[in-house]
Amino acid sequence: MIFPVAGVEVHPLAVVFVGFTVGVAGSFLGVGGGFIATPALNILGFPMSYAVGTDLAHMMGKSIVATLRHRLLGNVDFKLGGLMVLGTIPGVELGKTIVLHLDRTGQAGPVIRYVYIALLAGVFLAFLRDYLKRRSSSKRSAPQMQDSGRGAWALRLVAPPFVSLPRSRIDRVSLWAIIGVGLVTGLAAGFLGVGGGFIRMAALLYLLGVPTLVAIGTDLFEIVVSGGYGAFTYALAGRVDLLAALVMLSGAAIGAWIGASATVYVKGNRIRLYLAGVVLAAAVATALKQLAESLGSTTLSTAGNYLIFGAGGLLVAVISLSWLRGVRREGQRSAANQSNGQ
Amino acid sequence: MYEEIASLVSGMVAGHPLLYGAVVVAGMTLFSFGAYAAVSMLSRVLRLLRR
Repeated sequence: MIFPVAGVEVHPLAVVFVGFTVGVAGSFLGVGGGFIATPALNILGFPMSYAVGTDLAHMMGKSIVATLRHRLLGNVDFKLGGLMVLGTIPGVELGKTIVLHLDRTGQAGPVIRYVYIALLAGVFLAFLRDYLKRRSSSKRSAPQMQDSGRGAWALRLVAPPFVSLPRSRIDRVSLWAIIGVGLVTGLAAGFLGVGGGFIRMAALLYLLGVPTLVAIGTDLFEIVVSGGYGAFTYALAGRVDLLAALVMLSGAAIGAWIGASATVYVKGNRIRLYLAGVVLAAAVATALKQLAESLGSTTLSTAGNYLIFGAGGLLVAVISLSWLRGVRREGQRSAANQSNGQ
Repeated sequence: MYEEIASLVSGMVAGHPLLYGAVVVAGMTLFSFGAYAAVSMLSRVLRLLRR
């Protein structure tokens, strides 16, 4: 199948598979999945700028499906998401301005990659530390730690006006704290040129103390807005292959459904562990790319692409298995209930 | 059919970028709602069949 805007010929099933993989992983972890889709499309033959633009368009569509599904499961805090957008959009623009300034001095590539590696490493350590802490507390049979971060940094800010977010189990938080978190995550997204899902997830969990499942649903809602904005700007430059994005979305819609449904069967703490694993793979892949550029080696860059796509594939297999096991257990339970009732 | 759509899209990219931007956002939104409805229905049918 020839995709006319990008000018490449790729088997449509390969594009559907990429969409499915990103749909499952993104909807389960509450991220856009650009870290998997962009290198995967690039491996399939899409030039990098078309891979980014097409992925942003598909990311927006996939996040709509995932948000609708998470809304049914009660995982989306629309109030929090809407307020965060007030900070996200100026943050993205500020990030872009810094990138353009760095571009003029010819330092954009390496600076962005080093910051990206440092941020991902920080997020990985935060997720891992949190996972281990919660696991040891449950092993000691101490009272289970709440899945929402009490005493999160942003909740301590005393600056009116205040809002309450019942869906996120937050009684009182300063509006400025929410806008500030949106600004920081938007800045990171605009500066790094990615959706910023990981960083927003970490910010929602650790800065605002939102429970894991609500953080996932709310992050996906934010990605609808940021992905739509990104897709529009890339389409203006002719860097979105609409047909490829639609083919990808047909796989991603099914994947997003499965990923969102799987969150019902996996504990929040386990999701944090999976997030930590994928963030680590993304950090190593980016480090490999930086090394490849310094040494002029294409092999290392390709290895980085395959590493991230392989990690994504492994994650999808694990999530799909958890979902299948959960569905089967639920079926057995309802069959047992029916036979008990007779 | 596919060739016609492909040439229409290519023409839009070259001649009317603003329209193309709007078509991308509107097209993805509509397709997502359609896909969500289709997958929801499929899931309900599968659940009924399992019973």
